[in-house]
Amino acid sequence: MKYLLIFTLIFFTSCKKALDINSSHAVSEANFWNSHEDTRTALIGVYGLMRAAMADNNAWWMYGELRNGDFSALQRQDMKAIIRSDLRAAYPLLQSLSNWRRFYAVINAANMFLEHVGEVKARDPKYSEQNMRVDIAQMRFMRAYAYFFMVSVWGDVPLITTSHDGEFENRPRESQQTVLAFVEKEMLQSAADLPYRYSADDPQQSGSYYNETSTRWAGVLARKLTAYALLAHVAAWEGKYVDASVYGQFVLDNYSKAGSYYLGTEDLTRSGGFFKWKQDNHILGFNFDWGHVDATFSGHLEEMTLAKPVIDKALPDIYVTKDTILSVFDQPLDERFSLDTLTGAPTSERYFANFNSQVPIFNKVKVIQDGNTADPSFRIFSSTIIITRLENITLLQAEALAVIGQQQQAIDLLNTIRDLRRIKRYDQLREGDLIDAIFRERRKELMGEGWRWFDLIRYNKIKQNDPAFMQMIANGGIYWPVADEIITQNPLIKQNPYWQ
Amino acid sequence: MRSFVRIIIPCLAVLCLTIPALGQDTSRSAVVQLKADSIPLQREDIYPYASLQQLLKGNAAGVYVQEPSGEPGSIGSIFLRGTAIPFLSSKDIYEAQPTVILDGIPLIMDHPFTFDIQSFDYNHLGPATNLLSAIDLNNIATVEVVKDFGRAAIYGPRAANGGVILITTKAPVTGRRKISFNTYFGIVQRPGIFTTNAKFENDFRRKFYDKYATTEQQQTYPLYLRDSTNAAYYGPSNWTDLYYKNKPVYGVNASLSSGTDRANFMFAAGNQRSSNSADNTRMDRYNAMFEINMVPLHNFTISSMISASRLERKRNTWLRDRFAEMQYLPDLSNPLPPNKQLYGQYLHEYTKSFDDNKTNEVNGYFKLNVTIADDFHFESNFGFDYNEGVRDVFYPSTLMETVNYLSNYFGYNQRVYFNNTLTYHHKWNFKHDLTIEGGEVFQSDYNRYNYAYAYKGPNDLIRINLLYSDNTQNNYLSPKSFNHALIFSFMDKQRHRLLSFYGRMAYNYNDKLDFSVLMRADGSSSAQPDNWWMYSPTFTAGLNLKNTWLQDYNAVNNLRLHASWGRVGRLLPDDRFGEGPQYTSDLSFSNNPVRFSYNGFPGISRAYSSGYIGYGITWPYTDQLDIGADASFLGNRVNASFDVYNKIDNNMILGVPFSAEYGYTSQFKNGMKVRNQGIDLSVQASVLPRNSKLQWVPGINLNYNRNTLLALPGGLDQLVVGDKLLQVGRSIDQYWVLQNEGIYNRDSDIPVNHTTGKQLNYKGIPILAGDPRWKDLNNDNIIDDKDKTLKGHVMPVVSGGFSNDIYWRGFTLGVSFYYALGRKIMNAEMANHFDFINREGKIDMSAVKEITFWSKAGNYDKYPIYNPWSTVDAYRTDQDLFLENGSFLKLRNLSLQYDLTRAKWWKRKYALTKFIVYATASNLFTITPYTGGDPELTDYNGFDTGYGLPVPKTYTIGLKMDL
Repeated sequence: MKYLLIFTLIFFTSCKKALDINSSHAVSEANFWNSHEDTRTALIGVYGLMRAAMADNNAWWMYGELRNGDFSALQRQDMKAIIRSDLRAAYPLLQSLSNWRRFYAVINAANMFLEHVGEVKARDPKYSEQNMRVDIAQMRFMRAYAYFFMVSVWGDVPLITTSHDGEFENRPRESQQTVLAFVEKEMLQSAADLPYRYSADDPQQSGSYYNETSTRWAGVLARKLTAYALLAHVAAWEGKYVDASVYGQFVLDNYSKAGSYYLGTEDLTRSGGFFKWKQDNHILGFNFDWGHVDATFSGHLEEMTLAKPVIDKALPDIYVTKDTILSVFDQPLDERFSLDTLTGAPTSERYFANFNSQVPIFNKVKVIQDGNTADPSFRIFSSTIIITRLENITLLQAEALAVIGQQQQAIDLLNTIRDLRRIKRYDQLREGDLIDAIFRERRKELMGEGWRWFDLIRYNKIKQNDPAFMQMIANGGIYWPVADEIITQNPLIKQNPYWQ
Repeated sequence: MRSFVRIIIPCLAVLCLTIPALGQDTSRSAVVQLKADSIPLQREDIYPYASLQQLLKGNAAGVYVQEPSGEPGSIGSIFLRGTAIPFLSSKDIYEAQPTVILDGIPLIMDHPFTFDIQSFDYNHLGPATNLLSAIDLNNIATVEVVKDFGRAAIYGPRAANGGVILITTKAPVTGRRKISFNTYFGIVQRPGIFTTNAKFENDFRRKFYDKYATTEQQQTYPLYLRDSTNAAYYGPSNWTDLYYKNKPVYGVNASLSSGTDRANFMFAAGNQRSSNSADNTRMDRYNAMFEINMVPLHNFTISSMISASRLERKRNTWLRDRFAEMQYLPDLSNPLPPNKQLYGQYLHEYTKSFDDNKTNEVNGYFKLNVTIADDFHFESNFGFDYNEGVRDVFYPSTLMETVNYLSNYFGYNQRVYFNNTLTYHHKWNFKHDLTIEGGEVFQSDYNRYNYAYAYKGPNDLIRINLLYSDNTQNNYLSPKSFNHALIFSFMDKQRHRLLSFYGRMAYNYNDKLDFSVLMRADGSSSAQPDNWWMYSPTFTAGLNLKNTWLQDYNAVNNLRLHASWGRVGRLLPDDRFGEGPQYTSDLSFSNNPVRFSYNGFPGISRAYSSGYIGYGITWPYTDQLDIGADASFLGNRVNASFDVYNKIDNNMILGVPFSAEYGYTSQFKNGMKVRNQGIDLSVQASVLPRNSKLQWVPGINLNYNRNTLLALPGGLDQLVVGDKLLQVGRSIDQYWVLQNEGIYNRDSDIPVNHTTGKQLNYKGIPILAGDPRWKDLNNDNIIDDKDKTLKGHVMPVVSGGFSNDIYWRGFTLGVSFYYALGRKIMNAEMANHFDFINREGKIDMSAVKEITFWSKAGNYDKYPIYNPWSTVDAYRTDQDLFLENGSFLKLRNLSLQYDLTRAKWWKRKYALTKFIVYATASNLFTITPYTGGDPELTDYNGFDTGYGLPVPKTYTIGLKMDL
């Protein structure tokens, strides 16, 4: 009896100990934001969430490449619906793409970082002032970029700049001008704090960043050039081409500091080339690091475009029809794709394989497995989702200069790209309007890189000669509908009128 | 409540009226007496049950068993008195299961946390074996289902899912030696299947192509149907010869028991093979059990038991399950051919593979019983349950596009508990009986798994992932043959501790009137620190009418009314809930296996995908009111028991989708309230006079359950979660569907809104000729979610079983039926067949065609020919076109046994005290209005996907003997 009492007493006193268990798959608020390791995992988390948002259902291409684009779907009914802009079609893919939650997860994670980074600074002496400044600038950039991308997909979106942690309140959509003003301000301010490269003794980021070498960080994080390049895209989207040309010029003046360079056609299209892994030349990209077991089956253009004989898959989901190829690639000697003037056969398989079959394979991006193999058997890919690159900015700059009337400089930039691809320089008499020529060049150069739809919008805004498209711009038809569940969850959100 | 009373009174009246007609005889009988909700195994141990679930099926009121497949050892679920948990994902099923307590050991089950790393939730990772298959029913004396909180509340939060299931092993004999032996042998019978080939499929699809296809659509006609000279697809469809086979089943169990009243023991060992006629699936169970009781000192008893089982399972070869395990799908444009030769070649590749599924379970207890003085009694009980699952898989490269695959899983669940109880019991003047009890329970759970898989080994001969083992070298632990970038490893663990204290006082006055009070405090480590403890009471009262006012009525042998009201807490399913706002890895995206890192660094963030958990999460709890009566009449020849219950689950946690602009899918909130109310009724009677040589004992049990959602978190009226609608005032298990009223054959039939001039549309898509005619409930000329309505139930409204036992001169004929009424089934297999357009040319699970694709179940002609290309998705499953009545009645078991010791020529001096030969037949027929396959084989959402292996007809012969 006595022992029992003692035993019971021991039990009562050890209650707290018995019940106090930390979860092994979740970190509580108290155990986070304590050291520079926490800021690193949180920072990486934000990039990873953005990669997930872009890769989920291959969203980057669904929004930017498929709609009214050069690709046709073979059997996939849902992709066919996107291509013909039937965005309310009742397919799970479209419902999922109409949901913006994943982008707001990026924003919330960035907001959390900005709110808590001060705690790490206070608790961890190893977390330097400079490290914090660079981290903050990256988070502000990532948040701004998420907003920019959402605006280009949905138009007006709610602007939320704090985490509202635990006290979530519904917020209505803000006009895209307000959101873009915020984006531009944030990107500009972060541009000032960002280095050209990491762990490369940049004055704004000296020493090794999070104890890793410059190779580890190559092209992975937001850098000064990233911010300016995206600023140029933002300004061009808004039609503020003077601003766009200023930002674009910064990129063109400074790209070598950041390790960027103009790509030869072979480097652009070979499997171990530009799209492989991470490179300083990726101005903004989200990688799937093969060596670190990050490669995936989905989230790559290859998942949809490749098929036999490149990989073991009977038919691709999407392809560019022969007619489209021939009408787009109309210049002889184009290294990307052209027909031999004598034989009529394609001069290379760089952009298209199996050209002579009914379903040509879009072969430009093909980082199969580690990218160093031609083994078609296993459909795992490690290509990076490239958001923008130097050639894209060059053509964007040409577009900006052409719009603001600096014709000759615009032509020079256009010819920079044409020289790279070994096609004849621009000739106004033969090819007509410069703007048209620039957009034609973008169409060829950036095919499969998620820009076609956004280019079409900018092109029509400049030219204003397609009444149907102008009507779509006016009534919001260029935007995606908002998913039903978003509207159910937050009654302040109204559907885009075009899709009602 | 009142409606129940209205039902019960007539029931009782009928019962009372029929009883006198049964005769007045009160002599002794050898008939097995049924106690409500208690299943004596001596009646059931002749059947080849592969799991506890199969035993419970139709055998106890208020127990509904749902087996999604007839595959031996696959997971089946048990629901006691309905469910309070809406089934939104397969994880929820795990949460809704009642605790099974084996001789005081609360058995630990698999934790569903492996689903966190799985792209597809068809199966739990690892062997996914039903852990309740490990119990050898030959060693069991009784299985009792305790639903009344008056008794179940002593088990605290473990009783939250409607009560507990108590299993009592057979006690060792005292004073003599006993050897028991039970064995059977039998076969499972191959079913008859209507097979089809490409011609059938082509004819089926042609109707749609002829009616709707454009030239472009004609061109994408699938290759395998295009060429009618292709014998692989157009030839004979005889795959069933290889897929379905008659297979043997057998079981053997022997036990030895001996001892005196100071020390006795029992040792038992057994082996059982369960098979299915389909897909060569089977399970082997091996088990051994040792039980010992000792009384070293007067008033001091020690008892101990240890039991070990091993389950080995040969699993199915569904493509779906293989791809889900691999998390990778090959090109799916050509399905498996229905031809025997070609299918045989494919099956031959499996001989190079292995898929080893092993589960080991060990459990045991050590009990001390001390009687201190006359009235004080102390019991200390220490016990454990440990089970581990191992699965090793290798698929050769010839099975899939030259890519081979290897995976290894090891996971275990471990529970240790320590209970102490001090009881004071005293009786004054033979009338006042008082019991006071204080107890402590400590239970510690640990679930853990390691899992790794790898693709593309160098060849099919290297089937294990070898690592360099020299720890002085740089390559220590790096893989020898597999590419390290294609090896994925996972590890996770889950810990939970439950600490409880309780006090109980029970008073009984002269076996006439009794009442009791139980107060308990439960602390759970999964609760948040400011909310660790949950305090809950339970009250019971009983009135024995026989002993008070009916003493003179001979026809009534026993009649006791009882009532209880109790509350128990419900444990939170995951240790994450204790953390409050938290950070986790959330870098994954759909159509892809889990990824934790970016640029080779781990990245963590708030748990956006799994949902926000704030501070202030409190314990959910269950209240149950139970009023009932147990009665025996006519010399105990009619036994009846009924209970009316009102079970309310309060403060339940639900992930509520909210403003997606904060990145979260949902926020977990308290506040869901679900009520299950209903009746349990069991009646058993011996119809013929006691002295008759022939005895006929019919019995029935029945549960009527009504489920109602009473509240949602935050005062919401309704909530859409995925494809489900939870609406206050309705049941949580309903289908949310559009109402289908036919087809629009002509564009001119499509209604136009007279004011706006706009044509009827589905969520903005204009409805065209060839589209379904869906009822526009709110008449706004738009078909959308507002036009969906809640229909039917996934769980049955009425379920139970009935049996007839006929005894004559040592012969016993047993017939038992199992039924479920008032449930509906979504015939998803049919819907998928019609939805072929959206299921071709894709690489995802919806495009997978199993070998069973080449068979036909149901009537294809009763469905309209819609335009399958229509973007309104004409053959969707959220419409009532495919919703069918899923009620059924099954002849579950038929048996005939003969006890040779009852024969005239049998000599008493033979050593055998019992010698029974028997024959059984199971699952002989099903009566159902359902037009698809077996109505029992649906998933947790009531969807018949066609993935359940049939519940086979099984025939056995066997013998039981004691000596």
